[in-house]
Amino acid sequence: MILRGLVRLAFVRALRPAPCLVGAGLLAWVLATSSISGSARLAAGEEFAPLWEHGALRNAGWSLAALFGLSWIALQALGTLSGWRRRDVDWLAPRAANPLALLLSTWLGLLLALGLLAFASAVAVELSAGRGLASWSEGPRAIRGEGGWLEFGSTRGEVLDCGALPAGSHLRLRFAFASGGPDARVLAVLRDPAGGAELARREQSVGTGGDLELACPAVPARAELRLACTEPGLRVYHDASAARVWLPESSERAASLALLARLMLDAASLFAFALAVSGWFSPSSGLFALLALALVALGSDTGVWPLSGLGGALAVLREGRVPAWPSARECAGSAAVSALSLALAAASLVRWRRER
Amino acid sequence: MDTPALEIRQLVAGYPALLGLRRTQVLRGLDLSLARGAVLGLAGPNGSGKSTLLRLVAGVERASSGELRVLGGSVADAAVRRRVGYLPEDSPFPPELSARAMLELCGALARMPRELAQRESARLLALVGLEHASRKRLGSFSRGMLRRFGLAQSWLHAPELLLLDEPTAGLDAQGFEVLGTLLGEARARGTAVVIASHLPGDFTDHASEMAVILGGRIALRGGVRELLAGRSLLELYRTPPVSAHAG
Repeated sequence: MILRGLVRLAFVRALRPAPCLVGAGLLAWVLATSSISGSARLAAGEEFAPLWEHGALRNAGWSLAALFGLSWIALQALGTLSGWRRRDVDWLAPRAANPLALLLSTWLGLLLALGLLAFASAVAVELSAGRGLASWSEGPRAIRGEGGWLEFGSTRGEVLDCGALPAGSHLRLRFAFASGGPDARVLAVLRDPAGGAELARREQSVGTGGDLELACPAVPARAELRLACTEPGLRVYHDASAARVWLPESSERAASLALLARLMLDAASLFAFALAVSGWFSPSSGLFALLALALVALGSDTGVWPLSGLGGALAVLREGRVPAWPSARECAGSAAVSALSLALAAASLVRWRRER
Repeated sequence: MDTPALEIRQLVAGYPALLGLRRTQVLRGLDLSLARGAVLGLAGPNGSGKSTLLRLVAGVERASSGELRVLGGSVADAAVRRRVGYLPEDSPFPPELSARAMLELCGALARMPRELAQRESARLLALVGLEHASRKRLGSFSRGMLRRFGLAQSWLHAPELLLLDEPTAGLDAQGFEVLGTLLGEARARGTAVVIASHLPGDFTDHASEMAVILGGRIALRGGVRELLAGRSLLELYRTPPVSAHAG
């Protein structure tokens, strides 16, 4: 089913020297000039500033690699079928090869080309970022439910719904819509569900909206979280849907691997989709469809299934932290979209041959 | 072996013109048959439809109407197309691949077992004198080298019908010898061959019979020596001999 020669042809055509040199030059320029902004340094605080410095570099490098690599090779995917019908038809058509084998092989070649570009980018980014500091990787959602208002004088209780946590984990809570004053203060206390012993406590200002990060010891499953607004006369909304666990990670360098995985997963869907759209319509229609999808993929924090939320992952990178690896659901979604798109592209080739 | 290699009746084909508003007919009811093992020279002025005819038989293009039987089957049948070898007119092979890689790809596309494709690729590259350039990209090949490569790819899967579109265009003396060797192999295997060309020498050297396309139909058909006796191709196109017959 896989035609090695066609995999190689797609790979070589996608990695033409001129665009690779342009991409490498842009990446070098971005890595040489990117640094953390003053406001980002303030937001990071003293404790996290070194991670954010590396994160700024990683974010810039990966944003460029993702945008340039994905769009360049998606363009190759868009031009593939029209190229077969035009310049390659004389040697390809008489061989009567299986259309699905042609498409699967080409799709693999394009993915391998992006894989090589992304791997080279990862090496360049990590060499520029320097030694890898200990960091945190994005864990599961911490609390089920919607959340609610914290009023001064009353306490809101939540239960952690993410299993037991290892020592060194962080719990990030998000607050918003503070009203009644310029600066809301929030107290968060984590308690052992058996016996009620206090595990961790933090009180801080969240302004009119912001995050509170609670450093945790080893936490048993279903620990209790008590939240209170400590500023008299103020209220603030706790957004439970944004509450996240951050698990300790030995090196921030894992960020590049996680992003590489997400990039490849999105590329698999997008390249197959590009082959299908350009097969049934035209490369230019496919280009507009892909642009729309790319904007959604990069603009969404949570991801639009089956796309894996590359934009959210790049935002995590900015803090020097490690984005979550693609979930089984995301992988299954990408596999389904890829398979369906390749089948549609193959059908377009069959139709084209029949109508010629 | 009883069915002819090629049976064509009332074949009509053309290409879109005037932004697709009308079609220009190139072949206008062409009839032709070719026995297995025969070598047919196909002549005709530029634009007469020689290349179009070969592209139709190879399955690159489709006819507007008419009947086209290749090796006893329909050219729409993939299994039939895989028994045909085709040398296109312009050598449009991917410049990014090496000669060896491209031949192996052609073998894989024709569903040849991998080892056989590798063995035949090496043998044919040596046969056409490109052994030294087997690892070079096709983009770095001269026109003559590309023609020789084209001959190798057309013969790789030992087809039962071989279609050669201007095989000697751009070939040097060694290339002419290569073509002779390859056609000798084809004759020995009983392969039917169609050679479209503008050079009388291609017909006198290799073909047993000849057909001339004029006005989108086979205007003349006969033995090569009979048709070309003392005449240039141009004279043949202008004043067909009385003894020749169409069909």
